[in-house]
Amino acid sequence: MTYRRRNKKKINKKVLAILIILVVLFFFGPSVKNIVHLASTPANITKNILVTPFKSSIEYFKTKKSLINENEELKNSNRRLSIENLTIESLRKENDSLKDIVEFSDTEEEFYVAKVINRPPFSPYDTFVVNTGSSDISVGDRVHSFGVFIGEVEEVYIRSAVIRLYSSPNRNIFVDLDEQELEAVGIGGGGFSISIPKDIKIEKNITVFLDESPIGIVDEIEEDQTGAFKKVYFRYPFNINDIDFVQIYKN
Amino acid sequence: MLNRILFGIILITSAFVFQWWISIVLAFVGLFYFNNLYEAIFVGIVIDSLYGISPDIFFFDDFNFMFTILMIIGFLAIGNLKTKLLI
Repeated sequence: MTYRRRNKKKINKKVLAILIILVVLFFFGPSVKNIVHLASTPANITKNILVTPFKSSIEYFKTKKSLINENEELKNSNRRLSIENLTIESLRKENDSLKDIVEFSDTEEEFYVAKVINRPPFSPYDTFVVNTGSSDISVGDRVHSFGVFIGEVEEVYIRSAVIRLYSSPNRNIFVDLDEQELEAVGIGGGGFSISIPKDIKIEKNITVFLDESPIGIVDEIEEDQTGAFKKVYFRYPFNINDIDFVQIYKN
Repeated sequence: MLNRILFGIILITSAFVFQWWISIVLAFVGLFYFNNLYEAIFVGIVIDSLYGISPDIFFFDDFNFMFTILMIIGFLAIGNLKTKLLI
């Protein structure tokens, strides 16, 4: 019987190369990331130019019936939102007049508008890459979109930054649900879950708040027949894949 | 050799342009097809650099190179498997 001899020198070379890579990443990780981010800018611009015309191509394959249904739903939703908008307008006026009475002055927060150049499903952990860099924003700045705080700046590079959404897996935040402060955990895909005792009654479609501003709507309630807790799932009121611009508020 | 160079270019470009999982699948296919495909590790570095965040589960807060480590494990494991299978 013949055995193939192992080439130990080759294996040692491999291990040495991997060790060098790991040492470089450990000591010069931030510099490596900066270089990759700089190199990615032209690739992202090209990608966005190429992808944009095909974004709506899937619409051509929808059936006439589904389009009629979708149109009807959108009309209903539009009517409902118009009514809600009127209420908001009157509440805003009332709020302004009350502020005038108590001589309350709003402090204007400084913010930057950034273009999202990479978003889920391109990124793996519910992160956005935006085109604003270290000269304007810093780590920990809060990110706002469609009137909702969606996350925080996690890493900043020369011309870009990584934003970690609150819905990123294992990210914990404290939210107000039905006038109770509860801990919500991000589950990815713009979703969150909360474990609450079974005896607390929660309805679907109620709004969840983060620091008095809405963050999501209850989507699903999962009751465990044997356990003492139930899971409440909620998600951002919009699709995170459709966000093109965000506002970044300085801390 | 030309195949290897072409595959390397496509693989690295895919890490910048395509969804992250497409590059990972391509890298694993390449690891089976070519010997010592170091480009696969580079793909891990690119994905971690572009989208990486500090995973709360990892040993070091600042060392957020999860995909790089995944690709290194794949690189070593597939290389070893191929040696054992005499491919």
